Amino acid sequence: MRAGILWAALFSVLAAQAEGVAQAAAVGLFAEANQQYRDGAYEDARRKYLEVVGADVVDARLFYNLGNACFKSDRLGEAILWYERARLLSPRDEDIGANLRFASRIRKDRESGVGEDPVWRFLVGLYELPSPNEISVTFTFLLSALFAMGIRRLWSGRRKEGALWVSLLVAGAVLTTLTGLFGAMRIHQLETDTYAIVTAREATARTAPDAEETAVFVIHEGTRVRVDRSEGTWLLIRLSSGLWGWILAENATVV
Amino acid sequence: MKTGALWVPIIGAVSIAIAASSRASAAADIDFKAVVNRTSATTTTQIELTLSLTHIHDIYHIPSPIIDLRELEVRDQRVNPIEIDEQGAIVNSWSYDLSARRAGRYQVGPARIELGGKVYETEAVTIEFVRGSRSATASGKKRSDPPDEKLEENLFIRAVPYPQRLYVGQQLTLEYDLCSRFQIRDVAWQKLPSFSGFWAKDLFVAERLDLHQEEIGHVQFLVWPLRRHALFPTSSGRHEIQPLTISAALPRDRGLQRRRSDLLGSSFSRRKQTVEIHSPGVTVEVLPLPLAGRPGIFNGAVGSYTISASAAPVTLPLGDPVTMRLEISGKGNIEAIAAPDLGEMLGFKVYKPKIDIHEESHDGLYVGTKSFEYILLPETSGNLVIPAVEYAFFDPLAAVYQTVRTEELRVEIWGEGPAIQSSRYQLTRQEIEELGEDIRHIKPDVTQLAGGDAYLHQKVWFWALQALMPLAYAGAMLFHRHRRRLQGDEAYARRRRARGEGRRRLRQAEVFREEGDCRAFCSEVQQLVLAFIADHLNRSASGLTAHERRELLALRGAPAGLLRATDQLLGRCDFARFSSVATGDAEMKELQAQAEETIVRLEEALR
Repeated sequence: MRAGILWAALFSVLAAQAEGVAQAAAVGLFAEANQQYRDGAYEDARRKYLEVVGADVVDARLFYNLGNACFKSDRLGEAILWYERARLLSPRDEDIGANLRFASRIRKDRESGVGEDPVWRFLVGLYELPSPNEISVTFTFLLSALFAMGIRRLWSGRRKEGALWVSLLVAGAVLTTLTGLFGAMRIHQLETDTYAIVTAREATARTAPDAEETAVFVIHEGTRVRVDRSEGTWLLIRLSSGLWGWILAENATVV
Repeated sequence: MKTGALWVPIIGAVSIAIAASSRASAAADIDFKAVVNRTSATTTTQIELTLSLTHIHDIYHIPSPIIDLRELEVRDQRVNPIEIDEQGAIVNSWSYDLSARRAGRYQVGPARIELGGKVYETEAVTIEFVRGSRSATASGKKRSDPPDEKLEENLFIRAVPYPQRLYVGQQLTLEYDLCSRFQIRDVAWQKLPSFSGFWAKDLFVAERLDLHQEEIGHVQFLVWPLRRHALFPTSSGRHEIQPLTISAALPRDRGLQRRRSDLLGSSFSRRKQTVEIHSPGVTVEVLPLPLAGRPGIFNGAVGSYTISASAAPVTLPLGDPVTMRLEISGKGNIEAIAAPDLGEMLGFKVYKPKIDIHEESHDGLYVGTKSFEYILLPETSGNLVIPAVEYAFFDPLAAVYQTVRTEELRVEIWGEGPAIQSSRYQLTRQEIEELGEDIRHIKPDVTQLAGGDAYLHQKVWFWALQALMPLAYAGAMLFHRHRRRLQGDEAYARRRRARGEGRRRLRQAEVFREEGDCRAFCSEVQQLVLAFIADHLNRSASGLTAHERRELLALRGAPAGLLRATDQLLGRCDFARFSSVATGDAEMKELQAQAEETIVRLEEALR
């Protein structure tokens, strides 16, 4: 038993040490990539940032800088893709939002109906304001507070609590439920709704997953599309206008 | 004489020709037709036959028409007032109320009328009488009421698609008309077709009902145009368009009005009945665009288009932008037209175009113009050429691909400017200054980067933490209950305490043993066993006699062997305490072992 605990502790220490080494390496690569970017070697910086991404780093700052390097390397589609990924992690970051808007303005295709109605834009902004992680942390905090209140009541030994305590408990329960529902909705959306960014210069959408089928429209680099399903090397995509078509999967990357 | 003789046949021939032509013209301007207000009725009701003579020129004498109605009963016969129709023609009409004694199909007409020596004939009309009962009439229905089961023949939605066989992207015009022989009100949309598989546009949607009259299968109907759609199929195959459903209020005591003026009249019964009316479903066959002859630049446009280009200014200093305007006009789905490929614009940096659409429907077809306004930034000075832009489309009427092109445009750029790096998206210093905007700078170096799963909900420990909270609460509740019981239930508290107390006394006894104090050791062992039993039985250890102890232990199910062993242990302890001979260490160890065993057996027995 004791030996088992010792082994586990040793393993944890080694794992933490290994993680620390990997972390230091990733941080070093990130700094190198930043320097290359500052020196104007955007393509080199892009490759270096991608190396950091390959080291299993999921960080909004890394994705944002990578988006910048892609943009400066004339890869608009990739830039929008990384900005979108960064925004998912850090939805209120002003730099990410600004660069995403700027890059979206330069792309060829305009999404019809998106962002035109101010009320709708406000509601979407409100919905996307907290990141999924922030919702998770808030939910955990509220749930802990709720249980802590319950345990405190057990310990206090009081038969009846005051109005303030009851109000706090009810408010906490309602808030926890709402946060849980909102979080479940966001997580469900995150897990089921698949979006992709066109990374090829242009992609021809066809009526069926076959290069010989009729072309229905052409989309260009940077366009955000919803992926309904895939079949072989083809993706069934839907534009914000409702138009749908099959494009080659190599022409787009899932966010 | 000879001359006069010559003129007579000429004048005669001319007169005959004029007479013949005027007659022919008169014949062309006269229309004689027969209509019935319905094609079927019961033998207890009537069908109204109206013979209408429409003529542009006034006719001096119009005789009554001749028609053979011997097989039928003519209940009433009247000459209607002369009317002037929408085209200004004069309409004379005669009406006959017909009924039949026997059920069956009857052919009415043709009716004949002779005007100026020429006989005009209507077409024959077939009507049907079915066996009917008087009870329906007695229940308040008019004699001329149509049978209810024939409602759908007198009130329906007509769906007219054109064409029914078309290509992907070609316009399909779909019209819905409400045809009725009743006065109707309160028309409301119930279900609109989704037009799945089509890019749909509304050409016309009725906001109020404007009617006209139309003859459908020899029967006069009131027709209200409801909707007209332009549909552009997005994929090939058979496409089915779901029915359109509306609701409308009919007079409950509706009857086919005896006269056309009644049909148009404003009287509407207060007693009304709301019915749902469904259009038929529409099926069209959509052909794929042919692969043969498809130009490489074709990007899906279907219709008929022209393209034009203009640029301004055509003489400018280096650094100033040129605005190039491309206009694609024609028939088809203008909104779906994609920007044409500009090809390689050598010497220019091209910005995303500003798009403007103007479209309208003309004779039911979508026509319009889509303009693309590009900002071109010259990258060098000199005479630059904006190459001709080609645009390919598929003409569905001719079933061929066609390519149209603009003229080449020339622009003269003068002056010197800083070297501009040619790139498609990345902005140059000069462009950034012009736009007043660029992407924001990168984030600075960091000391730590987040790794692993991006989201907390993807981590196992997150869910373990969520599960831990209710478990912790359950644990706290159990502990709280235990604590309260300890406070309120003395027997429980003593029982729970007995084991710990026993262990403590055993350790103390061991200390005495190690010190060689056999009396203190035996006293401690004795107290340990007695206190353990007293705690489990919730009795005072000092007041518990040996007899009582045995009795209570037996009652709690302790086996006789255990009672004997306990007595023996306590007896040995008593003996050792008061004996003049000191007990050895080995014996004390044996006593300790016996005490431990007895405690364990007692705990099992009293559990």
